[in-house]
Amino acid sequence: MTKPRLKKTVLTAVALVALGAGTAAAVLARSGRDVTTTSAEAYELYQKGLEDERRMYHKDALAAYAKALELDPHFSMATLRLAGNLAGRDRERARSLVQCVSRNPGNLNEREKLFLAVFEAELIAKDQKKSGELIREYVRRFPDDPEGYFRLAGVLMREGKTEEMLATYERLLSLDPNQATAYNSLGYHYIGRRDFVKGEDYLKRYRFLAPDQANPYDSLGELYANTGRYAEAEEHLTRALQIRPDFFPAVGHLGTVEIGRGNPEAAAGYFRRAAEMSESWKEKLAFVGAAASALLDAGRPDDALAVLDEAAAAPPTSSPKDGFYFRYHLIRSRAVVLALAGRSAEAETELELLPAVPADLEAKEKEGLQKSLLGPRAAIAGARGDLEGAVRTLRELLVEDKESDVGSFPYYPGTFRARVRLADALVALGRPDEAREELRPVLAINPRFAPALAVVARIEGRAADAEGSAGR
Amino acid sequence: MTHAPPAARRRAIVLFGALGALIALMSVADMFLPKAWDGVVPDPYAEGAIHVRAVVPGGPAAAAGIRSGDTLLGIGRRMLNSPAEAASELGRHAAKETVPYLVKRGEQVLELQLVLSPYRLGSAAYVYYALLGALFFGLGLFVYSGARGMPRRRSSSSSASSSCSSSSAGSALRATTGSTISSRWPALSPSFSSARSSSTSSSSSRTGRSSASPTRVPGEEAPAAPLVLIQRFLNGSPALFVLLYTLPPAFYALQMAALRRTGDRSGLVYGAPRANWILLADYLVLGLLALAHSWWTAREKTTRRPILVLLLGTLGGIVPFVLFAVYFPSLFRDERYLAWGVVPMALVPLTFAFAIVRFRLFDVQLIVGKSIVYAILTAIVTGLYALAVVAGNAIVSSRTLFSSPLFAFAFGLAVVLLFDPLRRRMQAIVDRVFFRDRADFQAAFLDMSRQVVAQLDRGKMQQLLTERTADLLRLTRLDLLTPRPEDGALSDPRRGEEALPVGAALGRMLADRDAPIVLRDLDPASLDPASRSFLKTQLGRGVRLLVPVATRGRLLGVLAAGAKKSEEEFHREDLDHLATIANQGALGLEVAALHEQLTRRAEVERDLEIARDIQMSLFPRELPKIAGIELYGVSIPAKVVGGDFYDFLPVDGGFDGRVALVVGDVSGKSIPASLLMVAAKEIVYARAMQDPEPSTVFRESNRRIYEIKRRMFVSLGYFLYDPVELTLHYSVGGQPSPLVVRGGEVTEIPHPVSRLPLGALKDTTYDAMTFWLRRGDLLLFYTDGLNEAMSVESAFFGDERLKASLVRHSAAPLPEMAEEILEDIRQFTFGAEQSDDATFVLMRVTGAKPAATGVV
Repeated sequence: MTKPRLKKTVLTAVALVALGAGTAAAVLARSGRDVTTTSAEAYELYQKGLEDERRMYHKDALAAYAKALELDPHFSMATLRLAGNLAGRDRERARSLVQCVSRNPGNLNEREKLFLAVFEAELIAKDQKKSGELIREYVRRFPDDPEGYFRLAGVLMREGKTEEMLATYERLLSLDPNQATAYNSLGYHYIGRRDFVKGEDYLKRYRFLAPDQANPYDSLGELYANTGRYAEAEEHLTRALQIRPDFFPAVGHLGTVEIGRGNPEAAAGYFRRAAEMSESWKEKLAFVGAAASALLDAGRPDDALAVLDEAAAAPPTSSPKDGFYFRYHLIRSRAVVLALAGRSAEAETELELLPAVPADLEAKEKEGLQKSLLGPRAAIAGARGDLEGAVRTLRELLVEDKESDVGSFPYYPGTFRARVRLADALVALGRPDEAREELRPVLAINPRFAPALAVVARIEGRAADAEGSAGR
Repeated sequence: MTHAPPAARRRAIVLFGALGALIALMSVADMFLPKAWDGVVPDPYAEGAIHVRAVVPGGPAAAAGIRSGDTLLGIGRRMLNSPAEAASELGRHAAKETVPYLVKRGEQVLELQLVLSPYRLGSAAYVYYALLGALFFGLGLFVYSGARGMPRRRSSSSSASSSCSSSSAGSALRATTGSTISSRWPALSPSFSSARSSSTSSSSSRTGRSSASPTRVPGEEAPAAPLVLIQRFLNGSPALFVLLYTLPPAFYALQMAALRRTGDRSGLVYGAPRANWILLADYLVLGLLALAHSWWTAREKTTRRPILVLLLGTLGGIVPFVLFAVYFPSLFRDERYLAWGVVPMALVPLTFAFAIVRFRLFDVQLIVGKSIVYAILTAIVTGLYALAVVAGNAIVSSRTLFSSPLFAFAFGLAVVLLFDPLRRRMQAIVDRVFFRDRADFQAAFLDMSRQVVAQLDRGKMQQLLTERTADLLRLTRLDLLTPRPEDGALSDPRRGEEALPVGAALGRMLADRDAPIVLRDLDPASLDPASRSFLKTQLGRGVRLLVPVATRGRLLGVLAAGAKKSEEEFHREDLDHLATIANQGALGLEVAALHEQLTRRAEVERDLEIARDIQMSLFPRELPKIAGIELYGVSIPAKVVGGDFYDFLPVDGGFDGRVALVVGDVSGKSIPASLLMVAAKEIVYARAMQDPEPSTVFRESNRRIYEIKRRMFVSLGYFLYDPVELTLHYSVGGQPSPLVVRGGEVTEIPHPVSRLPLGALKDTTYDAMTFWLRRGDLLLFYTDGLNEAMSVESAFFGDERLKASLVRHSAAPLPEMAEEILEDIRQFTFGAEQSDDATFVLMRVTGAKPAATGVV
């Protein structure tokens, strides 16, 4: 081989090797782990935890993170994820986990450090503004990470920047159109805007992408349950439970279906079952409240009180604040049940048992607690025969009932029920037209909401009677 | 010289060929294996969504309820944004698999389950593709196998004719050396184009002629008979290539017609009718093959490099495009890699730009000219098309015909037929209008070429060649080095500089090639010392190019060209011009040499005529009147001048005394003989005047002639006539004895013993004899040119015939007798050239004194 040819061959070989090495390095860098751990098994469990979170299987996610930490106690990201999942049910424990990571950050990479800072701002400093800034920085620095967009969307929702939130989701989906949970969020957002068509569109996309998960069916089932498409709701919720029998939200939404159908007794059964299955005191409290309301609707106030009393026997122990909230809401529910059962004096007595609001609560929280008392007060007024007072209080309650951007419906459709009671009061006061107007928003969302339809029937019947009397 | 591919390259080609064949086979097999198919025809031009343009009736999509107008949101649990993503997703599924499709119809989002059908991509079109590919594969194989045993040839098209109007579009690609890049398909392989030996090739290319019949280089292996047959067929059948180029549009027309008849829109591949892709791909392949063929057949390295760059650039641009931008999106419905295919397409124009700049591949002026031509042509064709449609609509009152693609196709074919004649006319007009300077240059160039060939004066021709060429091409200098007469070394006769000796490597190189040699490209290390020295001298003089001036393989001279005055590099066009000028110079030199030769010959002939006149004047103008005898002499030289002579010398001061009759014959003929004859005659005359005794005259004359010129002899008869005694006292050296007719008998006069010709030996003696004459004697004194006159059969006239002729005509007066004897000889030698000078003298004795015959 001549000298120039040899030179050319060597140069070509070097160029090819460099090209290959560069490509391989790029591929490896892309596929490399984005978290720091010494255990491959822990990493796998961590990934499983993330997937469980995406699937809304929080219990499984907690277990996976916990197991990962057993294998690698210094696995910071698993610790933070665990904290994030515990925050809703045991805030103190979540905080201590974050502090633990803060004290021993170890050899964290830039992404992990930023993640830690976000958790510190949210759980330790409780500085939402700082948390928002950090998340924005996270998105800037790691634009390929979908989680950044999810968190940013949460921040924007919290800040009330709805359009920016939507743009964030759009950007995320342009990066990866297969981010299933983004469709779930968008679906709920549009449901919150009462654009059920669009909401259903996104939830169906969610179902298409994650047909093996219970949540997409539950989400669609919830929508259908609250919009009067009971058969479809039942089908979807049943499917969710087939996929994941312990998926308690689906059980709760089956209760919603029964409420809508006018079967409060059956609904109470679902709510009680959901309460048994639920994992946090907040969820349990919600289902217990729903079960009590359903039993009350079924004309079983004593059973309703019994359910509440039963729940009161097992208060949360995670923190005094949680205990306060738990007790406050149980007493309030008891007051409502007692008032609606005609026992207004007992109801008032019950309200006097409400615990004192802790001084360290934020003003917004305090305001929320105050407004939550409008329901029992309206019920007490009605029980005393002060229908005008009841109407006034209910209207105050309903005016203040701000629609959530998240758009999820409560298991027990309390707002619908409140409007039905308001309409009832107005009918009793001989103001059927006002009653119709009050029911209009309910029937616009769920034209097959049985309690509302019953009031409408009563209104129509009375009108017919009036016409008949006039005729006679 | 054969250019068989080296073994390593052959192995590499075979390896790649085998790999390619394997891939092709796998590809063919793959095309006929069932693939998952959903029966959805997406709108390829929709952005950010997959709009269903149509569903194939009876297909899976139709069965599942997908309708035209639906939007596909996702397939197989994946959300999609483009048809290519859909294709990619579909490729992940197998036939008969049930796959969920998320479809949006109006406001509704539906999830439908499709049972995918098996579908074979291979079709009649693909079979056509495969067959066409196989055809080209076969042709390629033939090219390869044919090239192994045959010389790589240059294109037969000449660059000598470089006028704008005659150059085709393909001639924009020009070679540096007079050989042009084959720009047309018909010369498909080296074997197909006319084969010539290097010398023949050189000659043909320079004169612009080409041979149609293959001529094998001596020593080459003869191609096998089938190959020869195929060669002949291809050489004689350019229609084959027309057919190859016509097949794709024909197929296109057929398929379009079929599609229109059946209304089948599933023939769409990625938006365009499949036939469009076929047409594109076919011409792409043909074009690439043509380029590859040009590269393969180009002889010069400087020519091959730019073509290779173009070929690689085009391949580098087109292959990814076909693969990523056409093949993947069309067949795999995956346009993720679209950019990988589209971006490299930039390589094609970039490569062309590089080739233009780096290799000066294209003549920019020519390209501009062509662009103008084709722009005007396009406008004309468009206008004609519009006119045809308007006229057709007006006449037929139907738009059906003109909206048919077949009409466009037929019109396109008509345009193809008319295109070239139209283009030629347009080209001529454009050349005249836009390229006046160039046309003027061409005219001046042709005029100079004509003058060079027409100039008969070698010096003027050389001056014209060098000075006008230097002026036309704006060269700092141009010299013509010609072989020196004494040793053949190449030198400039006007300068006494170092010459290139015969046999030097550089000289052989120049003689072997017919293209200019760029001196700076030469590697001095590869030359011999003489060539190196010559090279150094020429470079020192500012010479940049050496252009061989050769004809029929003979190096007549070399043009040594200096740099351009503009200090630009030499363009290919300049090199072509210099090669053409060298060609013209070779012709001019040959013509001048021929003219010089003819002139010289005419001068020699004129000199010979003068010499003849002079020689003739040396013969007696009048026959002397001598008492007792009559004389008549004739001398006929074989050439213009001869070596024979005769004379009558009045040794006693007048012809009434003794008279010496001298008949001489100098050995040899023509000028040397005639000169010696004059000298000999004067010597003999001088001696005879001093002492007329024959032996003395012979002896003295012999010595003198010997001194003048050795190995040239003079045969001499010296006969001293004594009118008183009526005798001949004589000596004869080297000559036949005179004949005497006496009483009807012819005999030879007795010959002296010593008979050596004069000049044979330095010192020799001659004896003399006396012959007594009688009244009535007839004597013939002659040189051997008479009796040794030769017939066409190389037979001598001979003594006996001479004697018989003499006797036969002895009664005639001497002039008639002489004529009759000559006539007898002429008859004998009829048709043969006179081989020797012939001289004779007739003497008739008329005196009365009786004398006894005897010898003293």
